Amino acid sequence: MKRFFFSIIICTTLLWNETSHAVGELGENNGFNNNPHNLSSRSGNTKKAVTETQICIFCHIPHGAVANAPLWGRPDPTGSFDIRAGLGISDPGIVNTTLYSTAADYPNGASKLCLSCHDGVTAMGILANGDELDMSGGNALQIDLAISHPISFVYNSNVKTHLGSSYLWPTTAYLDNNSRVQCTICHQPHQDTKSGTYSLPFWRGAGTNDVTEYNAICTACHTATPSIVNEHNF
Amino acid sequence: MRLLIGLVITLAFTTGCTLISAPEVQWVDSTTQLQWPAPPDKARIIFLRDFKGPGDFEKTSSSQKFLTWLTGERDKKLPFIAPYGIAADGLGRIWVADMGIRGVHQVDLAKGKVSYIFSAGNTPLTTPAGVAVDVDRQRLYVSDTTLAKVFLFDLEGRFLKEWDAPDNFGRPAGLAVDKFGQLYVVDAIKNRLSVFSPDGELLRTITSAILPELTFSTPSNVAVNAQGQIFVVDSMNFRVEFFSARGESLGTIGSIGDGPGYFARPRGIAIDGDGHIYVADATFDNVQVFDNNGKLLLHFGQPGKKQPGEFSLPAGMTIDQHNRLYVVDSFNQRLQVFEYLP
Repeated sequence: MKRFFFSIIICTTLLWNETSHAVGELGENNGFNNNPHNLSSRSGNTKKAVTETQICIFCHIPHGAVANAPLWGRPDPTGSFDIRAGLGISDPGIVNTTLYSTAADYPNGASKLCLSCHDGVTAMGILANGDELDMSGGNALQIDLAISHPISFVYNSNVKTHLGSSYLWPTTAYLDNNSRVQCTICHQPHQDTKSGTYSLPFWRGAGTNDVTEYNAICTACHTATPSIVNEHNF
Repeated sequence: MRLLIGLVITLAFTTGCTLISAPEVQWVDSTTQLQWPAPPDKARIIFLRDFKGPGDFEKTSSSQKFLTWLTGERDKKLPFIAPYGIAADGLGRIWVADMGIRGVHQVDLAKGKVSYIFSAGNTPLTTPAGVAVDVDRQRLYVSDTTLAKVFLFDLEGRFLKEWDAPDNFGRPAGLAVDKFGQLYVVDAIKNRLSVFSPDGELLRTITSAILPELTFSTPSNVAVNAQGQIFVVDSMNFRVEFFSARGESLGTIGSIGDGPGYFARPRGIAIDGDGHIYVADATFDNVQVFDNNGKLLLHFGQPGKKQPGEFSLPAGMTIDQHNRLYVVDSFNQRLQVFEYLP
């Protein structure tokens, strides 16, 4: 009876795991998948490593094991470099530091991770094309949010007031832990959603109807479906 | 009316005017004194200054102001939008490839002028990434990652020639020129380094000789030292691999990790007059300096918005014959210039 009970639990767990994996998830099948962000040797894509089987390390940099003291100057603290964008960005211990404050550098958070590869050389598709965002979060909002889809700014009440009534305040689930708009407001980098007739790449909340799901993301912030699409302005 | 007054003044001006000597390049921002390692250790790297855009390049002389007043027009000048590659002749001429303006900023600090290259013949540049200058031959090379070509210009920005590999480039990125005028082209998709003679003949193709991969993984940039040794930033193998002038692999520097001496997103590379190797990292927002044996000597810089020595996704780098290190601070949309003190 006990054995039967355990079997049920194990089967349920396995089934649950199976069904919770949407198509194209980065970690599925022990990493054997065609997710374009799968750069390991297990990827089915042409752009991949020859022998490296770990799939996470290409974005989430592991800690260096051996302390390496610089030879010039006196012994330096040989701790780790600050890669707050690279590891556990939802960890309050990391994000609630002054380095991740409203005065943080730009881009910040998860977006920095995206842009460190999508620079037109290592990976294509996203280019900087606009003025720097003022992230003071205060009244001096100097950026032109009207251009298109800025990132790394705190979407607070000042921003909302500035934008006016044609913009909505998205649910906090769309923002990062510091209430910032990041690339992840539209994109889920672990989930390869573009396949067959589904046209949206790495789309947050993707299911089976790309038109509906596209509008669902748009209307989280916009009161009307915008006329300009596919614009990245950083 | 303006024109008439202008004409009269110009006549008066030209008759009594003597030739003014070319102004010196302002290399040092005397308001900022920064050194690495920190005092009291001997300074190895000092901050010289930064350049945020046309306002820092241009010298508006009184005659230029007069001309502007006369014509009522100013040339359209562009800020850095998404700069990546950089080349410099050491005399004040700097070239910066910028995918944001889809062109190359041509800066002449001595003359206080800036102009732009937007096309190679009839082909508009799309995503210019790498630049390299061959001062001896008066040549400028520009790679375009989407057009998958390398373009050759003279130092006035006039298009001369289009370069390609015999089996075509995949995504040409970082460029370097050695003292013999040989051109080195990193191909980020075909995972190789192509070496061309100054005439455009493919001399050799190099890839990684490190087991078990035996290939580069998305290499991005390249530099060549005085002995002709070649250093390739092998970005997705998270290391720098270096080669003899003949292309034999001699070893690697760094590996994946988040501590000093490791790499996360290695990008730009440059070599100073003593053969030290500088590697910019877009995740750490710093520059690490290594000796020829791959030993870490120093790291400097940190994430930040605008202060000297702070970077936001640093990209291309170069060092001129005066040991001045130019770093493209891409998302801070500026250049920072440092100096190595031997």
